[in-house]
Amino acid sequence: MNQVGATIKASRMVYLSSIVLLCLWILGPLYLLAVNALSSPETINQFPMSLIPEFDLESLIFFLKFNGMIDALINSIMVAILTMIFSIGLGAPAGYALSRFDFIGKEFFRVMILMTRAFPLPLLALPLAVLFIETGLDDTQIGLSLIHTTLALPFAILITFSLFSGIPRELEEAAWTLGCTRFGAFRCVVLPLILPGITASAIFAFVISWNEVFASAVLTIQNRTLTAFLLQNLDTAPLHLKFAGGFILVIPALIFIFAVRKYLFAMWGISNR
Amino acid sequence: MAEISIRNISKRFDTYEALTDINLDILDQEFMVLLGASGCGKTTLLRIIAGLETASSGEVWIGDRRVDHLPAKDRGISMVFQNYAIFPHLTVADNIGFGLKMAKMDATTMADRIQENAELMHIEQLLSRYSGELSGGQRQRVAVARALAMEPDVILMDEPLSNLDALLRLEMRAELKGVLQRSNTTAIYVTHDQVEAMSLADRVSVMDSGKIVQAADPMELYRSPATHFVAGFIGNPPMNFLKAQLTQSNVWNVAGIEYQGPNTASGDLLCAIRPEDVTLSPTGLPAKILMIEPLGPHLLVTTSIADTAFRAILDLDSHVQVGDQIFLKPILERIRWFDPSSKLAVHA
Amino acid sequence: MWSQNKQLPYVLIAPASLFLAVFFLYPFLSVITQAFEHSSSDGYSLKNFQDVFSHWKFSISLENTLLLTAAVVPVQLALALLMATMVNGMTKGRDFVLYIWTIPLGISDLAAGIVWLVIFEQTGFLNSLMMSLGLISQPTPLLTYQNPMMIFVAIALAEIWRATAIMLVILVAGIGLIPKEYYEAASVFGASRWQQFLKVTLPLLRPSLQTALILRVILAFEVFAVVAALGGTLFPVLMGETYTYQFDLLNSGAAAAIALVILGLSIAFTLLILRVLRVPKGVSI
Repeated sequence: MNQVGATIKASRMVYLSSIVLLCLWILGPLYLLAVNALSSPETINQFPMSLIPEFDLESLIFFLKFNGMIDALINSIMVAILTMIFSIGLGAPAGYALSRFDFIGKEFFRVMILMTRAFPLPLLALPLAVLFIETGLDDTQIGLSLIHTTLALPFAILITFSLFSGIPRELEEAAWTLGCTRFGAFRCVVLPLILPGITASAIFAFVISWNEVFASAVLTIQNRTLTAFLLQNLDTAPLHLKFAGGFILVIPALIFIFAVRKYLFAMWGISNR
Repeated sequence: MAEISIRNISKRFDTYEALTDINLDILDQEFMVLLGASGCGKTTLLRIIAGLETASSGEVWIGDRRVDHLPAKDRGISMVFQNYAIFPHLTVADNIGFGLKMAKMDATTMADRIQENAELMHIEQLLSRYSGELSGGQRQRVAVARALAMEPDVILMDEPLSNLDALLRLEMRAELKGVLQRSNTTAIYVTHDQVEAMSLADRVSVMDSGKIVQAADPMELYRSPATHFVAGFIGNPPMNFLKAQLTQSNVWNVAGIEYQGPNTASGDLLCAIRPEDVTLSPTGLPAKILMIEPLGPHLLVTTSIADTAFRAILDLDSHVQVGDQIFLKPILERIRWFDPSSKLAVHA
Repeated sequence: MWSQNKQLPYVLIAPASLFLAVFFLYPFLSVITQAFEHSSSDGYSLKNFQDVFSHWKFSISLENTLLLTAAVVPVQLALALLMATMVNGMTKGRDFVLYIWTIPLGISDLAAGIVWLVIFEQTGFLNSLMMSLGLISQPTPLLTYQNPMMIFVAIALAEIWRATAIMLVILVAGIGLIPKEYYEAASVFGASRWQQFLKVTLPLLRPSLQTALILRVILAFEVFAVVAALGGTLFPVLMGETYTYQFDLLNSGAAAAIALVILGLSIAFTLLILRVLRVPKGVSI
């Protein structure tokens, strides 16, 4: 009996410590980044590095004051917001159609959506760059957000499809028998119920845009986003600038993933279908 | 006046014919039950009357209005769904008052109406709760209250009791019957449970494979089923069928015993006898007992008569055992006859 | 009422379809045609491909990309499977642990590169650690051309750290679909935990494994910002070369040619994975 108990306890210890180790593996590097970002430039260039942050905001302040940085931040935010609006605005109706109706071309449409995820999407930026120059969209927030929307749209469609499918048709039908028009039933019954999910997918679209590097770098010159700015300054920028920039890139992600964590598995799990 | 007239309704899904030329007239304030097995088309018919499906052809009339091209909200109907369809984001009170709000009723009348219908369904203490906090039975009451609050001409119900457990179903059935009798609404109720149909209905329409097989009041269905299908569907345990051969005109040989029957030319008929219409007696149909199931108030005895399974309901104190050879005597007026090829009742 | 308005579904998918036609189909076809058009001649030719293939950097970047993928993806698959199985057995704290393990999903590949730069930089934490352990006496530059192995390791680590969560989420969702009854039945019939993993979990996880692998492999061929942050020009990869051709050398044709190479690799491996991990018809949970 004791031996069995001891083995079980030992394997449980291994199990638990592996989990803790893996958590540290994820959080560790982020902590180290935070340490650097919250230290003064001198400390960063010192050696050896201390594990405890100074909570000196000098690096961050230097970063924000760096020429064009605030603009880059604003650009990133604006492009992400536009991406959010476009991808939900285009994606939600399509998701509703896929979940509620059977129509000719439905399978084809679904396959097309899945196929777009198979293609290295940042490469689309190349020919679109030319198109944008011709139409004056080059180097604009709208232009870049359109490309980011192409990245985010398949997700938006699949996520809203899953959300709408979770709402029984009978709820809409009940609303119709109680005096609602088609759109009225959608507004009064479906919308309130999927609002949390739609918000989550909007945030997801925001994050996709916020993090995107390749297309942003290719398409923006004067109106760079944060990612483009950092990329283009990788060779020349001093260390504390890179670290502060990385830190600012990461913080929203932490908050966002926390906000949408309930929906993450619904969202990514859909890729199984 | 809310009588309903269904004229030549047919419904096709791609190549599948769900309803074929349905004709039915329902009287004002009548409680009509559509009864049948899964897939017979009863729910499709109900949804066509409601306006949730469009028929492939035919007309639906409610009162003196033709409604089959109108959306559900303009037909003067109210519906109770099988899974209740209670709006999860609204309180019970807001659920009951949903249709009233859509009709832009003023707040005081609406509040009164909500209270009235909540009391009717004994849920007035749940008005501020949400559906997630309610049991299945409570949700069902909310669904009924919500439909009744509209004071509709017609109330449609799609198997509203089928998701409740047995005891609750029994209670709700009685309650529903009382509530609907007192209201002035025509009701159409869909179910696969023939006990429910028999106990609730003024009239029952038995459906099979997209057609109405017989529409009549429950007793007539029970006593005089029009087809083999109805005979076997109504009544639990179902009617027994034995082969009968014509010996002389009007006289038929059933498992060796002769009974008076119809006067027909063909030589074969099916003789139908209900399990409860036979008694243990010294003479009658020879039956070998295969199984005895004590069912509380009586015994359900499965026997073999002329190599055909025959169920009988006998008194608890019949002293019988498995393997016994007994004789079952049917009540003569209750014997029914069916043509084996057309499956229709043949009258003596 | 669902079938009343036959045009409604088409009206609803029209905006998204139109959008994708313009912003996906058009550039997709455009990249294909651009790859075959060269400034030196009219009409279509393979000159872009010849230019690109003959450049010394191409074979290196191709090799690097494939090597990185081959090193990183199997490790991530095993790690993700391990993490997914571990999390499946958790009750308390499951949400918290999952949140932490999925944080990298929200982190840009550029940020991931910078995060690991913090560790590998000359005055970074790895050097500090080695100093405090007495292994070295002064900070040694780690990410230089003298240490190609080091650069590779740094990039591989950063990628494993960043992108395992992508596979993890798909696998967790897939494991969640497997009804507990299958494990119970297996254990009743005498299967150990490991056997249950091999005979119940893995086979039923096939569709998810397929999806996770395909997605990860395609993303691996696109690796760009992590490499830029940690290796700069010292570790050429295909995507980086595309960027250089397009942006620095202003040679769209060559950029398009490499883009097609990446696309070709993606398609080839997708088909390979689909074949190797194919799910027999009729098999479902």
